[in-house]
Amino acid sequence: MAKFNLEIVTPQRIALNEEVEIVTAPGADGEFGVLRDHTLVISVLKPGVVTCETSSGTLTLAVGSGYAEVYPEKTMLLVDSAELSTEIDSEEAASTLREAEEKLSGVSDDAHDYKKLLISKEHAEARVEAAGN
Amino acid sequence: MATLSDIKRRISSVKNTQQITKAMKMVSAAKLRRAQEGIEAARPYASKIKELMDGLSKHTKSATHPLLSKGKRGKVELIVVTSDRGLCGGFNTNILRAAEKFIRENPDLEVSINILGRRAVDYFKRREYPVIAKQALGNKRPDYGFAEDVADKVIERYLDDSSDETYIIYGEFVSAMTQNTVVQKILPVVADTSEGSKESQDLDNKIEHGFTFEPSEEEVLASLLPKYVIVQIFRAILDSSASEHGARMTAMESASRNASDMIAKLTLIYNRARQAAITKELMEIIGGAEALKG
Repeated sequence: MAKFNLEIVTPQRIALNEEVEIVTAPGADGEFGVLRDHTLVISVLKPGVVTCETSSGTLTLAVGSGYAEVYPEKTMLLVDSAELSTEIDSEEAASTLREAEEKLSGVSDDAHDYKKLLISKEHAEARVEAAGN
Repeated sequence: MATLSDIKRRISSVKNTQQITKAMKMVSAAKLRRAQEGIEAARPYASKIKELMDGLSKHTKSATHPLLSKGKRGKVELIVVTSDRGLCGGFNTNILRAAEKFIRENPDLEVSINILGRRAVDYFKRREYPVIAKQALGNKRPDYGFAEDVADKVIERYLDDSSDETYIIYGEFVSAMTQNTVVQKILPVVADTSEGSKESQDLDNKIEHGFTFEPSEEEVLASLLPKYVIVQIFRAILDSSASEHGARMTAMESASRNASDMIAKLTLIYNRARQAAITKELMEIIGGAEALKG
């Protein structure tokens, strides 16, 4: 299958720069997949799991919130953080998730930091999911 | 006159100091390199966010997001970024002086200060300025999460009308020898809508040629604005950290050089004093022998 360039950029590093066949990313309105020659899209991403097919196999990453810029020959993900599944310590991820869930259950859903806690919980879930793959 | 052993003690004390300044210089050089790498690593993300921001705010007709303009002035939040540690030449002094100057030159504004870095915390402790927040930077390398927390609170204060504008003062990193003190406005967000840069024209074309926005242009912009604030604060912290290490390296370099000069001078005095003592002893012996002969 035809390949295209996928670049995942975070504020602290370029997490990935690879030729891939397909990438799926967690859009704000639901997960979407991108193949080569996709139409131009800029989409908001929420914390979740990104998977992509490279020639050497499937890569799974947990990403924070951010944006996707899609061009026919290149896709760029600008995210707060990105970790390859192999970089995540699954036990640490699980305990982070437990903490995030506890914090979230402690506040009512109209509290001003509810949204922030929800995002960190989603991110923690994504890390657990990515580590499990 | 100082005795020989006094001078000797001084020489060894200066040598000790020199060892410390040399070690600090080396440590700062290593930290500077890492801080510069941090700046490099942050650049692609920051420039992409800026590019998106500038392009979008130009094209989104309903650019009425509160973070873009509030139509009010009066209350200003001033973020002052210094280092946690001293011994870095005039680095912190320059920043603190710029902060005071800012306050002095804007007597019509109600300025409250948000402090990052222990040097400024100590400085403002003894002075009567309204401080709304203060924290040390900590020993670890600057990370994005920290900037995010700072930015969240800044945006919160801006939105609940505790402040109408936010500025940040920090040491921009130019080179190891040079740091610029920069006062930068971060809220309301000022997008660069000039036709100037090549990137923004590229993006213009892209938007004209049918980029699809998900969920919508407005929502992308709305989520982008806080990110842009975070990125600017993150950049200020990264720059400040590199500047601090650069300034400390330069300061320690000249301290080591001064110590060398001092050791040379003291050694000369020491040798002269020793020679004087030997000559004096010789004179006494000769004098005594002459006396016996006679």
